Amino acid sequence: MRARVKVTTGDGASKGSTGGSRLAPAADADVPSDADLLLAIAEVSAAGSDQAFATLLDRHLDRILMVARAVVRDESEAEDIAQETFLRLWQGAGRIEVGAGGAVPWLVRVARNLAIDRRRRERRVEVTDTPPDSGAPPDQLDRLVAGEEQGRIAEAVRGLPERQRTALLLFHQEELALADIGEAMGASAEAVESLLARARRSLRTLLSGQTRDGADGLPPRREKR
Amino acid sequence: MTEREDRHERFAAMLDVYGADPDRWPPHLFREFAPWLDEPSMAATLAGAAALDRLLTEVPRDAEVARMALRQRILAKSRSRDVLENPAVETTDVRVGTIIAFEHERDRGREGSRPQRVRPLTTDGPHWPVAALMAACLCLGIFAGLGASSLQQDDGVTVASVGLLDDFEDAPPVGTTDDDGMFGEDQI
Repeated sequence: MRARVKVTTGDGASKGSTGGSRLAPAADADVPSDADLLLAIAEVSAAGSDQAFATLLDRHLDRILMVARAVVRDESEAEDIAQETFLRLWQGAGRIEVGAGGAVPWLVRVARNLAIDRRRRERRVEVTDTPPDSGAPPDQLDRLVAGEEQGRIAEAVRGLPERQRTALLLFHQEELALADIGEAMGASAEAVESLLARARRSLRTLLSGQTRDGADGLPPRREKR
Repeated sequence: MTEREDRHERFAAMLDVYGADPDRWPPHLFREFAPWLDEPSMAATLAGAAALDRLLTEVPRDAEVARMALRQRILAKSRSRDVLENPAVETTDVRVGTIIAFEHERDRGREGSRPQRVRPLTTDGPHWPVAALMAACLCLGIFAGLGASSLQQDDGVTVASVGLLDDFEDAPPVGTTDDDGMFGEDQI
């Protein structure tokens, strides 16, 4: 997704169009620089700033995730850090000074600081005498069966049509709301409903009788007459 | 098809979309089906959906889908933060005198539920006449109070709570001295 943001300001080049910004990652004349996008976020209407923010997100999210992962080594924490970093960029867009490297140096600095803060907090864990209750270790057979089930469901999900699979995982694993899934996939909420329903029906057919739960766990449904 | 069969059919269709977690069902569907969840056929269908939900949690996370979700979460969050940062964007209808009702459980999720302006306490236009009147009343009250207390002191009338003021009977009135009614240099 590439946004074309036309930036018009009263004071012209003094604010957003710093000399270095033209050398930023997107040097192509058709592609807005990070500085232009930041200016758009800060000054343009809500729709325009949304688009500019999405463009910056697409441009730098992977790199920021990488920076965060290198420090915290936990995927969900790295995602939290990336999210917080971009939200700070969104809120402070008008105050961020962009140099030759575009928004990347600022983003990397913020992400690294947030990640380091988290690491420090993690180290301040209270030490107790009593070990945590880990419960009984799973039986070897149970583990084997569970592993087989996991493999089967993973394979069944992989076998779904692309859009059904994406909608299903966004809903059940990532716990996005229907409207957000629709926005992410460029579909209406009704279309997402339909994708989810078809995906679950296909999975039920594929898995019925194959799992430990058997027919009790996944009963075949009567088809609507 | 009987009403019961029809209900079961619609319940199964809802589970196909939203899964077995009632927290994720649309509120109006939850209200519709909640009273019937103990019915054996409904309970069995729900158990089947829950089993599939459990299996889905065992699917390894897909990196591409996870990134897509993260991107969407950040975009959604930025919008909600924008509203918090700039309340005027969403709350232009809320003014002085606007009563915002708490959302009743039965209305949760209903679209278009907005705070309703019940009774404005002020109207558009300048507010200074009201403020001036209130200030005048305040001044009048202060002067009237001061005048009354000086009258009482002149007449030698105890103001109130004689018992509590026993220790102070011989003390001069506050802010005065015995002789000329002004503070002496040593008292300042």
